[in-house]
Formats: sequence, structure tokens, C-alpha cells
Amino acid sequence: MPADNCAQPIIDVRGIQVDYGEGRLALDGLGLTLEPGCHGLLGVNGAGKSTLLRVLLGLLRPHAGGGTVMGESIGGSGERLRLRVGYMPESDAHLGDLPAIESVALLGELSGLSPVESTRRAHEVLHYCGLGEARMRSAEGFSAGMRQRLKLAGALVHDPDLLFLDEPANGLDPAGRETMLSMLREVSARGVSILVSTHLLPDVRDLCDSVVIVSKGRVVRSGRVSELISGLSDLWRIQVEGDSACYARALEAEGLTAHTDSTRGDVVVQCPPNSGTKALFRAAVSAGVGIRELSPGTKSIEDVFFESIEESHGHS
Amino acid sequence: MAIHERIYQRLAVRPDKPAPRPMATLGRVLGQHAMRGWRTRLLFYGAFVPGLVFALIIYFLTRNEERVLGLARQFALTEINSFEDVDSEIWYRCGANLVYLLLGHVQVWFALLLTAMVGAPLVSEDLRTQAAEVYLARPMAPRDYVAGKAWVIAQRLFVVLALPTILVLALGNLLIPASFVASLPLYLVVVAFSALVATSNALLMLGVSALTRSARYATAIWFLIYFVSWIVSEVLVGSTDNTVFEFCSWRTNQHIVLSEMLQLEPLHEELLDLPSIEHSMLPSLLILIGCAALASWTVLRRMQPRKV
Repeated sequence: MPADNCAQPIIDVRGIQVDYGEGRLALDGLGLTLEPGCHGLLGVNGAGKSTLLRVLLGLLRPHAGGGTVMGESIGGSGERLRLRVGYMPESDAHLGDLPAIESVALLGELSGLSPVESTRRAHEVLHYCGLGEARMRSAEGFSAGMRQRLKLAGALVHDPDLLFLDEPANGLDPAGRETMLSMLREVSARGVSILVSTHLLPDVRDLCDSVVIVSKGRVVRSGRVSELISGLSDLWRIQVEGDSACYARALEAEGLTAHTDSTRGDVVVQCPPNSGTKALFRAAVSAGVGIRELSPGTKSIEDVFFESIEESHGHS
Repeated sequence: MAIHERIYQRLAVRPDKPAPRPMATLGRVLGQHAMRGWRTRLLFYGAFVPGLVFALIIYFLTRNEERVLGLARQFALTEINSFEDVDSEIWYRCGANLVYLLLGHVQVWFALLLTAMVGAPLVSEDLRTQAAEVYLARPMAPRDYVAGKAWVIAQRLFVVLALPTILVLALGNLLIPASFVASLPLYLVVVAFSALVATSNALLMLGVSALTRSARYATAIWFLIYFVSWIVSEVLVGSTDNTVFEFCSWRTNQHIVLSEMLQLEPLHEELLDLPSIEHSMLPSLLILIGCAALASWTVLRRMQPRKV
């Protein structure tokens, strides 16, 4: 998914395998190449997203495979790599009851900034993240949104070239989510590459240029969001008179992928490209339902995600 | 440029190498923060009160020459009639017993309490909020994390243990200049023992703190280890007459090391009730260092990323 063919990949890993020792591989030969830009890392719970982030940060050494992040090998101690990378974890992760300004300044100092420079910088990023007024308070009393912004400030304080964000909009109300996403868009526009791990699909659609879908420790699909949405298959949305579940089963008997949209009651069908609609009518006859409306569906990032997950489950 | 004008500009010069001493940085920032609580400050500065009391006693004692000679007689185990009869060994014994009393019987209690107060939340809180991940996402190794956290406790313990003892010893030397040369090795003993207790207590406390996500439980476990091991050791020694059980107690091991470092000899019982130490310092030293190493390993193990 090259953003610029001349650009060096920010992440280039091959055959990454991580085994937590319970007989199931958290990452199973995962390979990934990402160019500079904003990328989404999607997957269901337990797919291996957080493990992948830890491997990329050099916190977890893979049992097999290797590669580079920002040109630094992930097999080493990772200290030079972590100079250039900012990490916003999913968990609360506030540093005890230190005031926000001190915790961000401490993280800056640990990243190699001088005490004076890191304090100055901590003031700046806290203002940038909207915590200017609250910077002298301890994070213990912060709301969920403020804690997320504090984590972002900590990740930005040493001015990294690459940000790893684990569920950045988790637990935020719609306004807080929009603020967080617009901040991330601005950071991205300033030349910082971002890899966002999330299971909130609208976040990826609103923020990312490209998406990587992980399932069972493997990359099952990756590419630009626009390319993935245009897809390889035709999508139809059908409103039927009769039992829609029965119709979906009849479609599957025809060899098509179909599911019922629980919100609208429509049946969503994926057909091979340029295959026409004859199979749809044949299935309606066999299911004994009438087709009220047949419209070409717009594929969403959700459709791409579920399609990828189903495919990966089918293969396994 | 005002902050609102330069909010989030990319840095012109970004850090190109990790922090030179992450241990010192962690120790400084977290240590300053730990000392903001009034209880910790009260305990820290309160630890100088026994030193002050000792200093006053020494001051009033040395105002009367006969009292000083009387004290020297107690330590000398021989007849002393004048200052000419007091040799350097007797002055050393006077100083060594003073150090044993102040350092081994008083300051270690302050160290025990301060260890619990400062150290209990250091790792357990990080486990609760998963902040360890934030530290380790910085260019620092897990061993720097452990060393930095231990430094927060150890530097305060060292001050609480060594400083009052050294000041009292120095005051004694000032008031009785003849004792100065004989007391010089004592300064080294005070520094070495304080460093040993500060380091071993700090690392053991971190290990205890890494066992739980609650600072309160960590405090309880710390006191349990200290007192239960002491009681068990006393009961076993008392019931079996086998002094090898003295090694079970964290406290007794520290006492054995201090007595051996000071090369204390049995004294008149009415002066100071010294335990009869029948062991060399080495096993106790190995036990203290071994427990500290095991505790460090526990912290490092708890820092490792887990299945998510």
C-alpha cells in the first residue's frame, strides 16, 4: 500500500512468530510492510494486535522472524528504536499520582530530552492535547477522555516519527472521540506516521489511509481503505417479502456469501465480479420469497472487515 | 515564543540517544514526589530525632571527665584510672557500641517503616495501572526500571541510616578528640552497612510490591516477612538451641552482619544486651544479597509482557 514509491517503509517485518507458551501462536508468521502515513490495525479481540505492537516496539522478542521499524532491527534491545517511536497503550497507564506535567516531563527525560527541555515540551504537548488547564493535577482525578489525552501527550513529548496507538478512542463520548481523531489527523499532517490498533471500525475509516486486518496472528488483508471498499466482489442489498434468513440460506446454497443486516432487515450478498443477478432470483424462487427491492450495496469498512474475518475462519 | 504560539511544533533537534542515566532520572522524579506526603516527610525527618537525643546525651556525658572514664571502664573490661590508660582499642569499642545501639537498634526501625511507606506503591501501582508498559516503551531496559525504582527507596534509607549515626559519631570525636583516629574505621562500617541495608531492603520491598496490585497488601506482606521471620527464628532457636535458625530472620541477618562488621565483643550485661553471635558474616550476607537478587528477578518477571 505504498503512499509514495520512493519512501522507505516505516515497518518491514517478515515471518513474525510469538508463542505465549499455551500451545496457541499469538502471531503466526505475520508479515507486514507499511510506508509512511496513517494506518489502521484491525482485528477481533485476541487477534494479536497488541502483541504485534509490542513486538514492533521491541518489548517482546519474536520466537521467529524479524525485520525493521524505522530502519532499526526489532531483534535488538530496542532502545534506539524507542527513541523514534511514541506509544499510547490501551490501559490507563498513568504514572501513580504524579501531576500530569511531571509525568509527561519524566517520559520526555527518559527519552533523552534534558530536564529543562522536557519540562518546556511537556507544557507544550499538554496545551496541544487540551490539558493546559489541568496539567498540574494528578491523573487519578481525570475523566476517561482526559486520561486518553494525557497518554497521547506522553507519546508525543519526545517528538517521535512514528506513533503506535492502542485503542485511542476507547471509552470516549462522541465529542471526545471527534476531538481525539482530529488531533491525530493534525499530528499525521505534521509528518508523524501513525499505526492505530483498534476494533472501532469508524475510527479507521475516519482517520486512516490504509488498513491492515489481522486474524489469528496473521495479516488476512491489507491495502488502502478506498481500494478495499471498492473490493473485488459485487455487493447487493436485497429487501425481501418473506423469511429473509431462509433466503440467505438459499443464497449460500448457490455458493454466494450472504448475511442479514440486523439493523435494516436487508439481506447483503456478495457475488463474484460481473456475475449478474440470475443467482439471486433463483435463490428467491427456491426459498419461496419475493424480492421487493434490489440495489447495489456500498461496501463499508465493516463489510471488508467481516468478509476478511470470515475468509480467515474459512481457511482455518 | 509563548506556548499558545508554538503549541506542538516538531522539535528542531530531536534526542538522538537515550537518557544517560534513566535510573537516576526515575529516582529523582519519583523520589521527590514520594517525599511530598506529610507522613513520609514526618517519618524521614523524625528519623533524625534519636540522633539528636544521642548527641545531647554524649554532650552532657562528656562535660564530666569522670563520667567519660566510667564509660571507658565499662568497655575496657580492665581497671582505668586516667585518660592515659584508655588506648585506641577502648575508644574503638566505645564507638562501635554506640554505632551498634543507634544504627542497629534504632535507625533500622525507621528504615523498616520508610521502606514500607515509600516502596510499597512503587511497583504495585504500576501493575494496577499497567504503567510499566509506558516506562518500558521508552528507551530504557527493564533493569533500569528496577534500578530506578530501587534508587527511590535506597537513597532515602541510606540517609536515614547513615547520616544521624555519622553525625553522632562525629560529635563524639569532636568532644573527645583522642577517640578520633580509633573511630575512623567505624565511619566506613556505617557507610557500608547502611548501603547494604538500603539496597537489600529496597530490592526486597520492590519484589514484595511486584507480588500484588495493591500497595496496602504490599505493606502487609513486607511487615509479615519482617516480623514473622523474626518470631519464627526466635521460637526455633529457643526450642531447639540451634542457632542456625537465626538465618531465617531478615532482621537477625542484618544484626549479624553489623556485629561482625563492628567486631563487637561481649560486654557487661548492664551496659548493652548484645546477642551472642556465633556465626560468621558470610552466610547472612549471602542470604541478604540472595533475597535481594530473587526479589529483583521477581520484578523483572512481572514486567514481561503477558498474553492479551
